[in-house]
Amino acid sequence: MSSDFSNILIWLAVLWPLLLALPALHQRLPFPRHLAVLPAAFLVLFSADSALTVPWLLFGTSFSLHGGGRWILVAIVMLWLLTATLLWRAKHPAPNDYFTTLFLLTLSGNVGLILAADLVTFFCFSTLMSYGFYGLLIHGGNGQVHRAGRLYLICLIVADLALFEALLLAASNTENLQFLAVHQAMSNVPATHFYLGLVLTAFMLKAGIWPLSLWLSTAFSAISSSRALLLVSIPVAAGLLGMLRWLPVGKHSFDEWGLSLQIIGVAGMLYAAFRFYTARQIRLLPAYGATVGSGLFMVLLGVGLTHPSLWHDFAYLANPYIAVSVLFLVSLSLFVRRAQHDQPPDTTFDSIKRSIKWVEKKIQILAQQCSVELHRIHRLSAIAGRMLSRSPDTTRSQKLEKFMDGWSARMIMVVMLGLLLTWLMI
Amino acid sequence: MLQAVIADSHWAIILILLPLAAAVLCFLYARAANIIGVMTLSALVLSVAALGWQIRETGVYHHAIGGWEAPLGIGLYADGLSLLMLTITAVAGLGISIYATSYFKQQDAARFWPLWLLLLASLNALYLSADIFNLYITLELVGLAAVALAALTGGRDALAGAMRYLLATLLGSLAYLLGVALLYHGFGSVDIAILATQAEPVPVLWVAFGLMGAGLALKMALVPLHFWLPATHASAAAPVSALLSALVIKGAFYILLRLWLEIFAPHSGGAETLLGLLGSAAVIWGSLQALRQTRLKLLIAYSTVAQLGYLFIAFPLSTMAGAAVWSAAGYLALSHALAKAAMFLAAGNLMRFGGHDRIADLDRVVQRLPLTAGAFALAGVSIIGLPPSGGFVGKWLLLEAALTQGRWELVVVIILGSLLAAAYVFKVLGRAFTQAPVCQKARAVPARMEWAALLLACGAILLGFLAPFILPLMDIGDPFSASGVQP
Amino acid sequence: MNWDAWIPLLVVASSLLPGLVIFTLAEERIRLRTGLNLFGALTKLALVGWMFWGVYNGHHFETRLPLLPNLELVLRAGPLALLFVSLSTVLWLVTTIYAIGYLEGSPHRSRFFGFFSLCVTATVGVALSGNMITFLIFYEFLTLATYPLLVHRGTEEARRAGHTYLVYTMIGGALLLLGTAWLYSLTGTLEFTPRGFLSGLGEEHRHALIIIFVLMIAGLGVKAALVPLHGWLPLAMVAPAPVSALLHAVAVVKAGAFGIVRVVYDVFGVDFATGLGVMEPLAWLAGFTIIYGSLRALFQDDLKRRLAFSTISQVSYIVLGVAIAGPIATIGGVVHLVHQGLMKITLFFCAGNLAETLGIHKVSEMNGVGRRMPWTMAAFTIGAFGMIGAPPVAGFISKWYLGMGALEAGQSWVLLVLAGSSLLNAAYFLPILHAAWFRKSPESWPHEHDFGRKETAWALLLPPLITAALALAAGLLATLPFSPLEWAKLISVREFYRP
Repeated sequence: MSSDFSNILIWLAVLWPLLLALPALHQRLPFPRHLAVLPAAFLVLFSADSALTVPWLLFGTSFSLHGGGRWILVAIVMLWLLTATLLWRAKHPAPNDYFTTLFLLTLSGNVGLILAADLVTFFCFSTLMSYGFYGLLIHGGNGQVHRAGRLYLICLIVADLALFEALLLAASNTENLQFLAVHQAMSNVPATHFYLGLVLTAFMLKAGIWPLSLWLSTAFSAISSSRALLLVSIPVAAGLLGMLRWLPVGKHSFDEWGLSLQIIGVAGMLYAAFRFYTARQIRLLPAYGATVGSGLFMVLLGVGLTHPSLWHDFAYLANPYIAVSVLFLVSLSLFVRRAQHDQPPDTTFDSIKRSIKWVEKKIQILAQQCSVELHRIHRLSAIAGRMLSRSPDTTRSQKLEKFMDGWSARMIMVVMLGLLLTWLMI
Repeated sequence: MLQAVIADSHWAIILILLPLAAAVLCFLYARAANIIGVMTLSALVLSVAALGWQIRETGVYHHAIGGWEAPLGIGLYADGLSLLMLTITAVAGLGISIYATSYFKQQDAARFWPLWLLLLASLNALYLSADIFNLYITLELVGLAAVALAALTGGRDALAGAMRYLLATLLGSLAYLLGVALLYHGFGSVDIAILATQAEPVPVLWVAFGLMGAGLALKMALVPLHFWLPATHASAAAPVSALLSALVIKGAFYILLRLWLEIFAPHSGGAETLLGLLGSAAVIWGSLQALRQTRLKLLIAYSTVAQLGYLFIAFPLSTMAGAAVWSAAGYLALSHALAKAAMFLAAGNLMRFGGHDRIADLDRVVQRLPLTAGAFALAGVSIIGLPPSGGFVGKWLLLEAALTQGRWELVVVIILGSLLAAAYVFKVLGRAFTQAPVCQKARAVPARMEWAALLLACGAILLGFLAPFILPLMDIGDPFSASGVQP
Repeated sequence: MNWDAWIPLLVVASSLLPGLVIFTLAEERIRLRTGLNLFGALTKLALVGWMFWGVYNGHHFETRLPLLPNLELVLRAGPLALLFVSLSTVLWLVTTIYAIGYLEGSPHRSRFFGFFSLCVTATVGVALSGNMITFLIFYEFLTLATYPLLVHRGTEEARRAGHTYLVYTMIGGALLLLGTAWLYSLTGTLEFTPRGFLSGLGEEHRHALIIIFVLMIAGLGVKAALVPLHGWLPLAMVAPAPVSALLHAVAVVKAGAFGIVRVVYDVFGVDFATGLGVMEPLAWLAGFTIIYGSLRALFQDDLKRRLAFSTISQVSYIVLGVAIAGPIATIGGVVHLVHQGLMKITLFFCAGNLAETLGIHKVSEMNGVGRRMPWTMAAFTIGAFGMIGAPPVAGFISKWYLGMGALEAGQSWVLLVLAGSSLLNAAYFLPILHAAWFRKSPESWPHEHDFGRKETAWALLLPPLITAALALAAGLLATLPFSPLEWAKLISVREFYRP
């Protein structure tokens, strides 16, 4: 596959949805939302790993599609196709309605930030996506949804400010704002810790990671329409991806940050388990699923920050992890949606009763879903085992042992077990 | 050929005789007065231009009438300063004359033109006189003609104003005459040039200067001797107000300036400080009073009081930087003449239009009389001293001198005066945009009156760009050098 | 005859002469008036384009006319001057189109367009001035030309606003005059010189120079609406929308900011000014103004008033960029001159459209207006995001350079100011956007005009779309040659920080 073709596809993947966002255009086309995802799908399917630099756009914009990013793109493309299908199967929005426009703007932002290869491009597309997502979130919603939207917006603004400052810090330390160059530059300068703090805060806000998960849980308890529910996984995935891309993981050892991240991750998961246990609302399931998923990711990242050498060994897992998380959240949401499909809950009590009934019926499937998490841990340990057996390098195996013996890994096990128990108890 | 004619003719004499003859003609042929008047003024403008060319080419003009030299005869003298004053008179006079052709009804015109041309002749003579006694005579003539003009419209206010004016001008002339007598007694001459060489710092000189200065200050309505001016200027007919404010007052200033430059400056003994103080007081007090007025013509009259103060501010500054400061004062006088004439004429239009000059009831003049409003605005710009305008050039030069000499009190006065001027000018203009609570019926204003005002105002603005050409003309014959640096 | 020497004068005349002719036109000569307006605007555009190319290639355009003894009227087209001239020329063209649409059928249009042209003449004169006295002349001329536009409606409210405007600007003008004259009495020259003309003055003048700097900045700060000299600006929003647009984006406010740039760089010189210790207070003042303006904007319900306070805040970005005193921050400040102009004029056009089409004047009336006027609100949205500093709109570029400059100069408190301002900007713009796009529209609008199938008249709709597109392009294409950013870099290299 020629690189020109890939470049054109990259362009199309980002610009085509933007173009279609014009109401005059998408109102005249059949299946505009599906059409908009197509270039991205083609890109994932047919393009080789490629990079595209556009020096005249902004401060020099660059895109790249590599192994890790492809994972996420696959998941995102599937997600968007699924959403496009589900949302417009039942009812068509009114012609003078901007939901489709918002949808396509968000899509463009989302694809763009996955493809972005430098900080500024990522920041741009993340802004586009976030504001578009705000529109999707509150579209046609009631007062509570608007409150959730406002919370999201506040988080978003603060996060963008933090990111902007981080961007400035990075730019004042290096000319080249490509991710790899920034990782090199920001790993050992006086401003590093500030940079790390800003980036972490920002993306924790954006992704709704505990303890900054305020908007996420509010949105979930407020949203009655299933369509916005589906889309919650988008900012979460984007936030996780942002951390992965912006943080200089694996370049330098940041003990304090790594430790904090591990604590935050574990605490987040515990919190999610506890909240779900006390609230017992089935529709909050995806929210806590997201919190658990991102908590786990934080632990992973924390370990990477503490032990850079260790990170090199399982860095390739990070992208697939996000991809899988996205799909996991989507499938969770789908089930919840199915459960609430006929009648939206009137009172919490009703909802719980119906949920319990539903859970009884579907408990097996749910258990399977939950076990994805466990399975992932299992896979991790399997990989570790494989590496242990394959590698004669004792230091590495020692490291891996250290990780597996580490308290955070054990805590994850405990949390997962707790979650499973919760399901069963309901 | 033409050049030779211009160079050899006695333009100075023409400048005096032409309006005199025209005055007689107007008196005889009252019906043709308008045409005669305007043609005379046009001829005067050309003559002044010719005189200007003449003295630029051949230097200072000096002529003894009938061949009798000073100290016996009557001498005529024209240098840059005279030229400046003559120009002011001719140009502003032309504008006002054109205005007057439309303003006056037939019988008023018949009385206006002879008086005005007589006034013109005496003013020209004043600017060309070389001795202090001739100056007195011309001053007296100017005063009387002006009083008669002020009484022209015949209303009660106008008569009362004219009476006050008469009192003031006679008193002023008397004081001046006493001063002349003292000088003649003390130094045995009335010729300025001779006096300049013979003057010594003795009490008689000081007393003479005190008397002459007080008399002239009274005629110029320098604060606190300004009691007569607002009433007179506000109650007279519009062209007359313009003449009085723009031209007549400058005559007294010219005399004061001449005497100061030639005779008194080297022996001033601190009088310039007093003059500066009074000038500053005039600027502030006059502006504040103008700001308080509710009638347009009174506002403009007080503005005259204020703007004349600037001319006095030049006195204390001149002791260190003579020529530049006097150029500034001359330029201010020039632009003030044009702007103030335009303002009074515009006010006349407004009065004709609405039948009143209450500022609060101007009632959308901007839409209904755009040319008049424009004239007032442009004249206002020059009065305030905003760039680009003649007023700005004058005030800039004055400010520069004050700053260079570190005279901060004067700097503050100059700036403050401008700000206050802006306040009263825009007080009027702001009302010109809005609708008055009471709707008034309006009378048509002849286009000629509107254009006369506008052109004068445009002249004041144009002066802002002409400084490089006018300032050198003013310096012909070094009229300002006498006061130079004190020995 | 060297034509290059006359082009700056022609640029000034290209709006002055049509303006003067327009004054004399009768009210109903609409076509001739429109033709004259557009002819002037296009001629100016062509001339400016010619100068632009010439200056880029190192030509020298300068007109000198004698004005006063030892002082000349100098019009010179340097890179900085051209930046401002181009901005005002382009936006004049757009605003003229807008004004033609906006004032259709309203009275006194000849007067309006006459003063409108004079206003642009003055702005271009301010931009091209080659010395302080020329600057002063056009600066005051601008005050005078704006006043009739401000009170154009002839209401009592307009008169009061005009009065306040004059009180502020006249005092400001007097201070500037004083500072200029004082400076002249010290140096004997007023010629704008790269990196200042004061370095020859000795230590004994230090205090005098500090006072002069304060006087001049106070004089300019009135127009630039630096707190506490900003009181006139929110009142001035009574003027018709095109006037507000011009006032906030191109003419008055910008002239003040531009003057501050001139004074700091070409009169004092940035190093000299830093040596005087006046730059840091200036930066604080600008920072305070940024925050204060945004805070006040937060509590305004009147849309144009909110935008006015936003201008107060945004224009101080320029001052801040200048005051931080480093090449990068300067680029940020100077480029914001253009960026703020593009974004703010878009916002004012949109506000005018809302008022003209639907009778909406208040933020609280804007619910669901996005459905009724999608294109207008799309332009508004771009402008608002630009103000917040969201990428890729032009405001992001300005903020980027300001922030980088602050880091470079080691003044990290500026980052806090920037962040706070962005936060506040978001806080007062996003609710508007939210209401416009996501709230339900009311049953009827306050005062709706019918434009058939279109959302509003073409002449009203196109200008905001054009300026919004320009604002977007200025951000997206910032690294292309001749973009405002690249030009600002050129200025910084050629005029301010030449080695």
